[in-house]
Parts: sequence; structure tokens; C-alpha cells
Amino acid sequence: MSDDVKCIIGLEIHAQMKTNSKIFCGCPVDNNAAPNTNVCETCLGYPGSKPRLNRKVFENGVKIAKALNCEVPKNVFFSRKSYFYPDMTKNFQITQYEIPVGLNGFLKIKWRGEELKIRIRRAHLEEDPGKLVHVGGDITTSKYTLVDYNRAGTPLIEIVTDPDFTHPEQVRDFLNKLRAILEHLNIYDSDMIMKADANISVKGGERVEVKNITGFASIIKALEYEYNRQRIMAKQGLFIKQQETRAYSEQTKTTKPLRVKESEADYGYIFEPDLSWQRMDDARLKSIYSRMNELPDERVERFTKEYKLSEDSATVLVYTDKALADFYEACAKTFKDYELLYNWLSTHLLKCLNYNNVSISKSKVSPELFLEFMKEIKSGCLSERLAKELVKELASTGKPIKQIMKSKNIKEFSDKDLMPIIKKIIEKNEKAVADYRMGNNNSINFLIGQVLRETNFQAGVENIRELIEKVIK
Amino acid sequence: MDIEEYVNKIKSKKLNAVNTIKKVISKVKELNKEYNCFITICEDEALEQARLVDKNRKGRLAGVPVSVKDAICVKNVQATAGSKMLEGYVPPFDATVIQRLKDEGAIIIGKTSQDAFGFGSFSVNTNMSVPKNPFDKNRSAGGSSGGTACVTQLADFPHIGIGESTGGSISAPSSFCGVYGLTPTYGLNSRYGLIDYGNSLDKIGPICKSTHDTALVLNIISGNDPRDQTSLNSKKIDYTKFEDIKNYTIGLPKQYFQNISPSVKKSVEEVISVLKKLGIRFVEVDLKTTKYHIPAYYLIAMCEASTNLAKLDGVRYGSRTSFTDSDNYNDYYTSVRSKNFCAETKRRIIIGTFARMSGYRSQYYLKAMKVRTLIINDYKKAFEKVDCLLSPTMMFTAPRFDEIEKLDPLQEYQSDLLTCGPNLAGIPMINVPCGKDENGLPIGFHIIADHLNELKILSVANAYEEAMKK
Ligand SMILES: [Zn+2]
Repeated sequence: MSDDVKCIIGLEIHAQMKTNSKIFCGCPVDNNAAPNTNVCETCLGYPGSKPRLNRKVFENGVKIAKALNCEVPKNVFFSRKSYFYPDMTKNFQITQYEIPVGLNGFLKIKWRGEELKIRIRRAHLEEDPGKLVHVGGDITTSKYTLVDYNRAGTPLIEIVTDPDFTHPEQVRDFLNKLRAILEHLNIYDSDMIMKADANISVKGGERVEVKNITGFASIIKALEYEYNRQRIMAKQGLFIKQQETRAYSEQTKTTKPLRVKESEADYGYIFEPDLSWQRMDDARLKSIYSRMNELPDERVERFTKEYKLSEDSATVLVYTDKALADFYEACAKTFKDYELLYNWLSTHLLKCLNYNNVSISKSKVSPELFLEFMKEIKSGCLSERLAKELVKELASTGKPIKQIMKSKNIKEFSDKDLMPIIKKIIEKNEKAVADYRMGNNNSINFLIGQVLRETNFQAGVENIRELIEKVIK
Repeated sequence: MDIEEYVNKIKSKKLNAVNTIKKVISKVKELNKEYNCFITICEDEALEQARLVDKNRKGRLAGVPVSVKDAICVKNVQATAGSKMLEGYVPPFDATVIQRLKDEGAIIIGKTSQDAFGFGSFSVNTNMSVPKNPFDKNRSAGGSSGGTACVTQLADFPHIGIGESTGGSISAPSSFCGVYGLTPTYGLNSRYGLIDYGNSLDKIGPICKSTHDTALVLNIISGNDPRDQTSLNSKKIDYTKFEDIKNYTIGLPKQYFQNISPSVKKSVEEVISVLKKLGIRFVEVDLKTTKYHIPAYYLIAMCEASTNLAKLDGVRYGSRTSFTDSDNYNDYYTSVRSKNFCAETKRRIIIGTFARMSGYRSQYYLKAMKVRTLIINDYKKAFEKVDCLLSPTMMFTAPRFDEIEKLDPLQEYQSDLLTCGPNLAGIPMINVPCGKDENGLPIGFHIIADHLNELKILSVANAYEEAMKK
């Protein structure tokens, strides 16, 4: 992609927060429950009911604010945002307006070797409305619409950035970093929904708002599409003349103009009078921060110290998927060749899992199974070629390595098995042996190759090397 | 027979709850025909409760009949809050205060008439039923807890009334009906289960025949409730253990004695001389913020109310209307709300929505919130020098319905002048009956104290009540 035209992007991200119960009542949160089963008088907004703040959800909001380097105001409170819509049980949403849980933060990302600081304007908590189900079609074609209030009251965190991105690729890095932070705080996992509204403009043009883009991948795709559209137009001297709202289509992977009302909605915010102010004194903040998990950047740094990994390797483990870093650490407890473990995990196992389209947390391979495999490699009894075959099998079956080897009729070559073969090869190749003794290190590789061939490429290289050296010396 | 005496007779089986409640129900049915004090009389639920009482004979309110303002939810009994919009809404839960009353053996006999959603001072702003004054059926029982005050005055049996005040809705009807009505400190009694008017102002309180009954009910319904996050976590007090008031200093806010009708003024002056004889010292107090009480109160109350009423859209509960294919959801909301809200409800929704629109918000809503803080400080300053404040409760006695009809909305709002200040500040007040005017209509005076000083106002009320018995 050529990027000779500068653009400006600002994001408004909404992420569902992982929680057992809703933000203002005790109802469970379960995306798979039968419609309208996880509801009570409060999340249905029955007259007389009152909200009560879920303390854990609130504290998670404070943790996010802290992780995004935001200020947490001394007094945090909630507001009512009024608008009528059929998915709303109260026709107002409890959200944060004047004083949210986090203000004026930033997140640093790396882009093309450069460090960029993306400013965070605010982070606030709010409740999700219910879900509209357009039976037998979409909003324009279905005969009627059903409402499922299970989702009403599910906590959301909204994060608003300044327009600090200059390229859609930066958004990818930013979202990836944000996702890793939320995962490490145990507030988000990959099954959950992330949505965004994005403002994007190129130099010389007005801004376009792309609304309600759902899912990590779509956010990037929508921005790339919109960037290219505006860039190509700009090259032809065509600029967006008037601020415009567009929607992204999953099907066509394009954006289309969205018809919106002339005047912007007036939400008539008032303070939420049913919820008391949250006083955020130093003691309370300290207590919340003390219960905060390690953040991804801290983890990368620890990995470079504790496991002597390069920063790049540590970054791969931590930022690909929190579960990958957890998997690595589970193995590293007993397997101390950290570099070898990193290579087999991040290169080979991950490649196989990606090929099968499963994430590490959903895969059949447990750290215990993988450790057994790594022990086989470490013992030097497996050739690399064979090991690569076996890791594929391991990734797709999740069977113990011994069992896989047995079923594939793979013989383990012990020293006792190898010795006669080595002796035979040495006798056959006197010249190579002599060269080695003269100091030609390459000739040992020739000998190893001969032995490997005899074992059908199943024995481990390092093991063979050791034995040959022992015999010749 | 006061409540304690009655409860003892139930407990010692000298009285049977089912028989008593049957008599009470037939009596209130009669009264209701004449005075419209109830929207719902819940005979079946009441008798069910009475049977339980006869079985257990337990609780500080065993077998005591209770009438509840319709805006306060009673499980499985319709709650309309005085509006057709909520006709047919049957809450599946008890308000916390109702739960606490039931736990003590109290028996809910019905839900009482009120201004729709509490929007009024005379209980006439409703499309359900308008209660009449017990002393003159051509006059108002006061509002918005009019039905509760009315039946409390009329009941010739032990009875507890539960009302709710946002800007004076316990004091006004108590004054007009000649009963005791206590508006507690904001947050003392849980609001859980109250159909909201202005959430930052709403308070549930007892309306009773005596100070002692009032204090007893407060003992039972007060206290922290985790279901209401604005509920206070204050120390439990026995409100029936009245204090000696001999060395109290009471302030008379000079602004609260202007434009008072002569009979009310005379009556309250007599109260002052009775209390002086009991050893109370009186001083004049200057409440400089008084002229802002009404505008600040109405702005905040209407802004909050207009958001609270948004949920009443005819989809999930209450009144519905027909829906045609050509309608979109907005048309439906408009038609169901136009049909079922009465004029005053619409007025408050429109004003409240206007005052919080961007462009007007800072000049109305936010300014009123700031003024509210100044008003609270004004009272706080007064309470540095005095134990309580005393004033007439209302500037006049119960008006006739034809007089009310002639009032424009602003004139009606002006009638809250003496009550909305303390309501805005969230401080407690009690109406104490003190004689009648030339038409035989009750007059009441107000005792007001600082936050959580309910015991002080109850002590003064009781001392006056006892003095008048002699
Ligand atoms: Zn719920």
C-alpha cells in the first residue's frame, strides 16, 4: 500500500467487559442464554427498581484507566443519557459524561521503528442496551422485531482517543496493544465484542465518521478501505467537502454513506441521581492498584530478564495472545532451555494451530503435553524433521507424544541403538574421520548425515554428534 | 386506641386480625365511595396477611392496617402512581419500606390517590381519582400524598399511612387533613420500590394520628438498604425515646412568615407561646436563599422527572395502545404517551426536557444544582445557632376545588414555598396539627431540623401534642 497521502484518524472504542454479573444488578451475563432469561426488575427498568453499582466492574474501569495512563478524578459519578429506542428499557442509558473514570491518558505504540504516543481523551463505563432481533431479515425487510433484554446492563468500557493516528496500520498496533492490556487485566477475552466509531480524513478533506464497526479485524479493514478511498480521490483532486457519516459493510468490505438526521441528537444529560458519587481517595486507588495484574509491557520486560528472551521474542509471546504467554510460562516452570522452548512454541506449534484455525487457549495441547514433546526434543532423540512432523500431529490430535510416536511406528534411538550404526559409518568413511581429526569440522556433518540416513531421519542430530565425537576422540 | 395498645391486643389474642381487617376493609370501602382516597383496595392480599398474623401473633405492627401512596410498590398489587399510563402495572416486588412493615406484621389494605407521579400540591393533577378533604368534600386533601393523609384522618381504627415527599407532598396533605406527617432526611428511608419523581429529592415517610405512632413507624422503616445506593448508613435510633426539649432554641425564619393567611398566622403564634411555656427559646433566623427555593426545586425535580418518565413507553407494562403497520416506534410512543399522561405530567416532561437540553443545560439545570448547594449551606448555617426551625406548614388552609381550578401553574407552584426549601436541602420536617380556622379546616405547623435530627423534631412535636392534651 502506498501511503504518500497523510491521514488523520481518531477512535471511539467500545468493548464489552468480562464479568459474572451486570453493571447495575445481579443478573448473570451470558451471551448464549435463552432470550429474556437473565433479567430482573432493575435491568428491565421496572418502575420502582433502582440500579446499584457492581463494585468489581467499577474497579475494573479504574484499572483500565490506570493502564491507559489516565488520571482518575477524585469524585467519579454517572450520568443519564436520554434517548428513545426500542432496545432501551428505561429510554435513558446510565453512562459517564462530565467526570468519567479516566481522563487525559496515552498509550505508546511502535510503528516502523518509531515510537508514537496516542493520546487518550477519556475512558468511561456504561451499560449496554438490549438486543433487537429482526425476524426473518434485517431492519428494513423483517415483518417484526423482537427484543432480547439479556444484554441490557452488560458493562461496556468506552475509550476515546485524540485524532493522533496518521496511518491505519497504527490503529492495528494500538488495538492490539489495547486488547493485550484488557486481556491481562482479565477484563476481556477474544470471544467478546469490540466495536468502534472512527473519524478519518486526509489532508485537504473534511472528516468522515465510520460508525458502528464490529470486530477487531473489521475495524482495521474499514479504516484501510476508507483511507484508500479518500487517498485515491485526493490524488484525483477530489476531496470530501462536507462531514459525512458512513457505515461499513461486512459483506462487501466497503463503506457506504449513512443517512442521518440533520441535527445531532440532544441527549439532555443529567447526573444519575440513583447512584452515589464514587470518592477516589488515595487509599482506595492504592488498594485497587495493588490488586492489578501485571500489564503486558511489564511482562515483556520481565520475560527479557527472567527468561533471557530478546525483546522481540518476549513481545511476540505477550502481544500475540495472553494465553500464549501464559502457556510459555507454564512450560518454563520446568523446562529451562527458554530459547528452545520459545522457538518450538512461537514458531512451530503456533504455526500449526493457526493452520488449523484454533487459538492456543482453545487448542487440545496443554502445557503438560507440550512439555513431554519438548523433553523428547531436548533429549536429542528426535531429528528436527521428525519433530516438525510430530508437532503437527500433536497440534491436531492433542495426544501424548509417546502415543503419537508409537502409532507412527517411530523408534526412539537410544545410545545403544545408535552405537552399532555409528561404528559402521566410521569404518566406511576413513577419509572423513581423518579430515575431522585434522581439524576439518565440516566433515563431522557429513558423518552425521550418513548416520541420520541409516535411522530414516528419526534420530536426534545432537545426540548423534555427541556419540561420534566420543568414538573418534 | 393507639397502635401499641392495639398490637398488644392482637398479640394476646384479645383481638383477631382477620375479623378486624374485614371490618376495616368494609369501612374503607365506604369511605372510598365518599372521599376517593384509594386507587386500589387490596382486600384479598390484606386478608391473606391477616391470616398470617393470626397464626404468628408476632411483630411490632401485628395486624395494623396500612395505607400506602400508590407510587410505592407493593408486591402483586397494581401501582399506577396516580397515572393512567401505569394502569395495570403490577410490580413483582415489595418496596423496602413495605417489606419492613410486612416483616413486623403490618397489613397493607390499599394504595392511595395522589397527583400523578407526585406532580402537584392538591392531588388534582391526576387521571385516576381525586381525594376529598375529610372536613369539607368541596376542598382538596392536599397533595401529592392526599389519599394517604385523607384516610389517616378518617380512620376510626388504628392506622398507619405511608406517604412520599419530593417538595412537600407529605407536609401539605398532612396539614390540610390535620394529621402528623414526617418527611425524613434524604436517604434515611430506602427509596427502593418507589416510582421515582425526582430521585435526588424523593423521601418516603409516615403519616399518622400521633407523634408516637409516627416515631414507631420511623423506627421500623428507617435504616440502610443495599438496594438503594443513596440510602444512608446512619446509627439506629429509637425515635420513640423523645428528648427533653426544655433547653432547645428554635429559629423562626422571617421569610417563612410572609403572606400567611391570618388564621394560620394566629394559630402558629399560639403554638409559639405554648412552646415558650415549655422552656423553648425562640430567635429570628434569616434564610437569604428563600427566594431561590421554588425555581431551584422545580428545575431539578422536573429535569429528573422527565428522564424517569421516559421509560413509560407502553411497551413492557402499563397502558398500551393499538399499533398500525405504518407506525414507527416513535409514533407509537407519542400516541400512548399523549393519551395517558395528564396535562401537568406533560408540562413537567416538556419543561424538564427543555431545561437539560444542550444550550440551556448550564443556565438552568446545572445552575439549579449549584444553587441547591447554597441553599443547603444556608440551612446549615442556621442550625449552628438553633436546634430546629419552626414555621407554618402551608400559607393557607385547604382550598376549594373551584379555587384550585383558577390557579395557573406558577401560582400552584408558589404554594410549596414553605415546604420545598427543606425538601431541597434533604433535611427532616414534621407537620403538627394545631387547631382549625374559621371554616373548621385544620392548620398545621412545621418543625424542621438538620440532617438526621428526626428525634429533635419528633420531641418538639410530642411535647406540643402532650401539652395540648392537658
Ligand atoms: Zn437484572
